[in-house]
Amino acid sequence: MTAASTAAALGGNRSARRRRRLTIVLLLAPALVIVGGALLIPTLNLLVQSFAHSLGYGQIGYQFTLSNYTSAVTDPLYRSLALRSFGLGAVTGVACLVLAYPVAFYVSFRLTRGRNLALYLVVLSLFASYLVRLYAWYTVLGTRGMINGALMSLGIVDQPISILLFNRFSLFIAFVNIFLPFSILMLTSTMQNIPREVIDSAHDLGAGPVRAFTRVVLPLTMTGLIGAFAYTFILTSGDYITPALLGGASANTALANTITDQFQNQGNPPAGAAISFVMLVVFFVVYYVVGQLERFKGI
Amino acid sequence: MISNENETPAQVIEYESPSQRFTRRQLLYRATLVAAAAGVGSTLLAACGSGSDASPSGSASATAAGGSVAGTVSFLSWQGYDLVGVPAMDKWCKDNDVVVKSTYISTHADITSKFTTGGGKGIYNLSTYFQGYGPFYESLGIPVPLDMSRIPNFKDTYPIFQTGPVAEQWWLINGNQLCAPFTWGLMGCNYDSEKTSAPASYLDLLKPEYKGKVGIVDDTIGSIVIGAHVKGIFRSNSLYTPDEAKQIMSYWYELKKNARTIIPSYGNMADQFVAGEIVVGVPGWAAVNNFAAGKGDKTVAHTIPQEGAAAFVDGYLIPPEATDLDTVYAFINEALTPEVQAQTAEFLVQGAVSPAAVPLMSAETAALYPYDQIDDILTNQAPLEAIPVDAPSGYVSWDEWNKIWTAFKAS
Repeated sequence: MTAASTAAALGGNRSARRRRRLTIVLLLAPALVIVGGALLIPTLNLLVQSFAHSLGYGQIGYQFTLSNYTSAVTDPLYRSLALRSFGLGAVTGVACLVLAYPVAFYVSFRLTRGRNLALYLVVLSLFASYLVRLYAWYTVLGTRGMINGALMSLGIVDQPISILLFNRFSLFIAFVNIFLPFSILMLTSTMQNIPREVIDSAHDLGAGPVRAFTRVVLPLTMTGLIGAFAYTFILTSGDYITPALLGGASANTALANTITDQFQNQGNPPAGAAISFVMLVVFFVVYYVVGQLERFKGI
Repeated sequence: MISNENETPAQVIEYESPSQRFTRRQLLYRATLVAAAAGVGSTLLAACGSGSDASPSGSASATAAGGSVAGTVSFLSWQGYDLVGVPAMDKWCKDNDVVVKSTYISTHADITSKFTTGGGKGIYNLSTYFQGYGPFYESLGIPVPLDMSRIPNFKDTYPIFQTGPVAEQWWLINGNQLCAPFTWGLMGCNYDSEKTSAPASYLDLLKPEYKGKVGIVDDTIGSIVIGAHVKGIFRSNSLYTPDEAKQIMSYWYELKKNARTIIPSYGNMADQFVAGEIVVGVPGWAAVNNFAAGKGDKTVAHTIPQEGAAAFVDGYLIPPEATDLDTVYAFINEALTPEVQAQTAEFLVQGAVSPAAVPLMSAETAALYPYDQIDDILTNQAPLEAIPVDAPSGYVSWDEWNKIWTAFKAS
């Protein structure tokens, strides 16, 4: 090869690399613009506002202050609501894992012909809108709902049971109903990536079904477990519509409701922004802590 | 008033109180379900094309209001208040080459921020004025005094909207007409007339017979007003000391013992009546009767218990540096014609300010508000109230009220 041809080849490689880089940039650009424009810029704006003063209804003074954060963290009302919201998120997250895991396991390792149909049915349950599914609980748990109707027509009760709806129980049921399909899908996706040979090898090496599960399957599904829990925890803790619609007289307010109140009723965006960022920090911390469980994957 | 606030993940049809109008206007736009978390306003172009027919409505035509009518109304306020969708108004726009460009708000604070630091001056030429925030808007210099000679139809509204102590307290301040009222509403107590008689007093709702049958609406200002009426300490400026706030809230804490649920909106109150979950709802709203009837339950009624009720009046304001003033004045003038008023009352499920509009309404809409007692209602039974956004020291501020109400809901 001559020097000239070598130089030409090198130039060609550089040109190809440039084209590849340009292609990558062009392909990423729309997503970057959308994420930057619709997420990062508003988030930064909110972050700036969280350190600003409220000058009265709807007016903001941009002098630096930490008072919004101090209030968000130390106010007993917010702390109590935070405990309630994050507690419900954690309980719902665990419940969804407990219920979703056997389903995902069955679909992944036991079903063969019906696997796609089962997954299709899970996805189908997501087709109804979130709000429609919330309102549907009125027709199931309500005074004139299906359960009360059945109990009364069977003569089990004379009067409708009122404790089925408008309390923490109905809130919990609704959240599990909403997030269970997502948990099943996430876990199924993880389990389907486990090579059957790995499980067979465990059996070949003398592991029984329980030991193969606890030492092989469970660690290898840790990523899915973490993802499903974090997803459910974050969205449940941050929800403000479900508590308002199904929480009744005692469980209608979550921490997220106070954020909407700050922005909409009180006209105090700095306070609302500060509570939002405190929630965000809690989500990051929980995600980080739960993510540490991935270390057990290698057992 | 109806809003089309976008909810996550799908738009809800909700109706709320004057203090929560960001969702009530959704009534108008139940067909446009969308998803959005922020609930920020959208911008619509409600263009009215050209036409040749003369405007049939109005006791005084738009051109009579002076100047050229064709132009653009740049509107900033609640969806529905631009009257896009009111047939007579749509036709007038079309006939007069008036284009309505609307930016919808999700909270009253949007008006405050846009016309103070938010860059709305010179961009919008029409907004709205809720009497509760009116004096606050005035202190911020938001409304420009109106030239009422350019709104001749205002002379045909009920006198209480034009002159006298109510007008002078809320929108005719120091001789300056800060808005032109075009709608009003009333908020007392809703009840299922098949299951109970009209509660004569809010205290009746504390009786054991209402155990588990009361729905309390999540409406901070409505609750303050009604609680203050119950305790006999109502003040139209809504300035209460911390002790008085405790008295007001003591009624709500007592009532909560009988509550089936805290209701997130007035639209949801109608749902709860229809589902048989509640027998009474408080604070109520006359419009809930219509919402429930639309869902098949014609037994829901509205009453003003002896202690009193809450009320609201909304008007059109012109902000500073507004352009296309001839068009805007003509638009406001047209909004006050009997025909547009009657259709607006149907459209918004609210009260009309023009007596000539009442005979033009359906019987159901006309029955929602006691037009024959309007003076007594807005003066004595349900006097208007301010939102205490500017409470001086020693009184419970708006921030504190919201916190008090949140603590009540969370209790």
